[in-house]
Amino acid sequence: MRGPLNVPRPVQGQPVIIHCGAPVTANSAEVVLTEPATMAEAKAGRAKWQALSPRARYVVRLEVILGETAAKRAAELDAMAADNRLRFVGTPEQLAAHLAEWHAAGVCDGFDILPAVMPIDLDLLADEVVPRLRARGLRPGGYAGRTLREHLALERPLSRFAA
Amino acid sequence: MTRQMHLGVFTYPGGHHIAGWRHGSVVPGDILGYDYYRRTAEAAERGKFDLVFVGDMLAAREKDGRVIAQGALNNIDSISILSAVAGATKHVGLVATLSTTYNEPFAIAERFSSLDHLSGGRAGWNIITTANDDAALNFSRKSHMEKTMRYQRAGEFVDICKGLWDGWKEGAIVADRAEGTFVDTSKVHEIDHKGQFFSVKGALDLPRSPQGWPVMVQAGGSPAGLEFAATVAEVIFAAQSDREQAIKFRAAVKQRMPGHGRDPAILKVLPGLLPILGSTEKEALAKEKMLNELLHPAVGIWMLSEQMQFRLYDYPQDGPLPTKDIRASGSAFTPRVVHLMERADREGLSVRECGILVAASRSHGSFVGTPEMLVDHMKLWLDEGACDGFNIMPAWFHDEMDLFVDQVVPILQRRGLFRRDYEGPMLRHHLGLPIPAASAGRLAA
Repeated sequence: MRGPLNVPRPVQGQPVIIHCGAPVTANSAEVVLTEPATMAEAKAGRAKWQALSPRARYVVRLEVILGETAAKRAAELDAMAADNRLRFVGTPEQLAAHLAEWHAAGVCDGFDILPAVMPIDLDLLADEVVPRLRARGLRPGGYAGRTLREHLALERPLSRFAA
Repeated sequence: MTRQMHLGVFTYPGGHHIAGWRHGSVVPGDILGYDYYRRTAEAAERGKFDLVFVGDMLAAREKDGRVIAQGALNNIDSISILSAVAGATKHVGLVATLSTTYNEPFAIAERFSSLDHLSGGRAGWNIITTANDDAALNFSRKSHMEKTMRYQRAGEFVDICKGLWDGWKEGAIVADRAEGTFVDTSKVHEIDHKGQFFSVKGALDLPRSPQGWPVMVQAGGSPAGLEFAATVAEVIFAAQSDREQAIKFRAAVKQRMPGHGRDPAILKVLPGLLPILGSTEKEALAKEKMLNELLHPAVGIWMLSEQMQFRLYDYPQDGPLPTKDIRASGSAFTPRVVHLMERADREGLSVRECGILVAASRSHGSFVGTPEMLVDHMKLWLDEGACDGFNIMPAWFHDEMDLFVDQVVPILQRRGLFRRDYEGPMLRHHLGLPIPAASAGRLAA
């Protein structure tokens, strides 16, 4: 590989490096996406990752089915095809409390939320859950920055040619 | 009825005149942002253009191993640009350039299928084998693949892509809510391809896109490129600056098409055209002079040396182009280089003059004059069978593109030479091309 690249350095210096599953190399991950089955498993996984990539944001993947009819919809979905993801079924108020509980336990830095049905669960998430998280001081009122690195409070990597 | 022409715009960072980026209206930092490309695509759609065309280089522009200091940049990735502007436009076709030498067929088939789905049937693929040797050094290879081999690889590559696109028949997506069946698997086919260069099992991970295949575009003018064009091209983006040569070139491709079972009538040849316009001829000539004065002399000599694969740096710049020495170097010259050397001999052009010639339009056709004169010029090329339209290469963005759209297109429309509105949503509609039957790909079972 001779290089240089045929376009200048991108806005963020480098895109945010996200790992799913097993660690690749030390300090390579800036965001770690995990799919733990329980809170205890998430905690253990985070400890393992912190040794390897201490600055990485540790994010837990969570499927959500929301609203008054959530339990009924969950049963219908499972009748068609069941999966084994970590899942939350309940009202937006309950989800906000659930996320706050995980956050307070220091299990993770955030969540990668999988709305079970688009756009129903995504709309409920944006319209009903996020305002409750804001009220609890767990989400900012808006974007403070412009780049993904700024949203995640990750540093812009120095160029290896910076000297 | 008058034969109508097809129009594309070739996007380029800064502009197509190599010094275009130095013009005061260009904000050089903008060329890496979305708005720069959005503006070009919106102007093209306002002018009812057939397509927006984006190129690809796979290496930084260099001289003797250093990035050339005076030249403008390459484009950012063509598929990224066109996926972004697809959201800002509704009709204009989106032609991305991707190399068959430095990619794998499955990934390319997936990307063009995606662009075609996302844009509602507006994708086109400019199939290149990559001409610049230095790309090899960025792709884990010691040297660039030899040309005949590159075109063999391209042929197999394109066949595989067509097979992958065809692998999902029409109606494969049933989305039966009651039964819980999304895909009719009897309509999805693996291709099980094992060939000289590739082995690909399939099926593609996406259903057939609105156009079936993206419009197949080709840009090489060498004998091998010409043969390849005759086998696959629906549109040719040609570097032709001489009308007689262009007539011969178009006829030569069309003549070869029936041998490959193809109808020559579908072919659309679109030479590049760099217009320099003024409200009077004098004003246009002054604009050309201004642009050529912005041209850094080193850029002209560098571009000439690169194209001729011959170092001209130590020759006197005002002396004649040393065509004897260049020919003796024994490089395999492209048709455009051969053409330029013939012209230099005939007209006694100096190294500097050839540099300006190459740098100003990058060997494509150019025209200096009023909008009316330009329309006459375009009509002559069309009437004489030199082309089916043009790929417009504005000297700089965005003023010169706006000038063409707002002052030339209305004249073309008034004279019945160009559409007043789009007749369908897809690029194949604009170009009058058929939607390939799902069984047209040679590999599909």
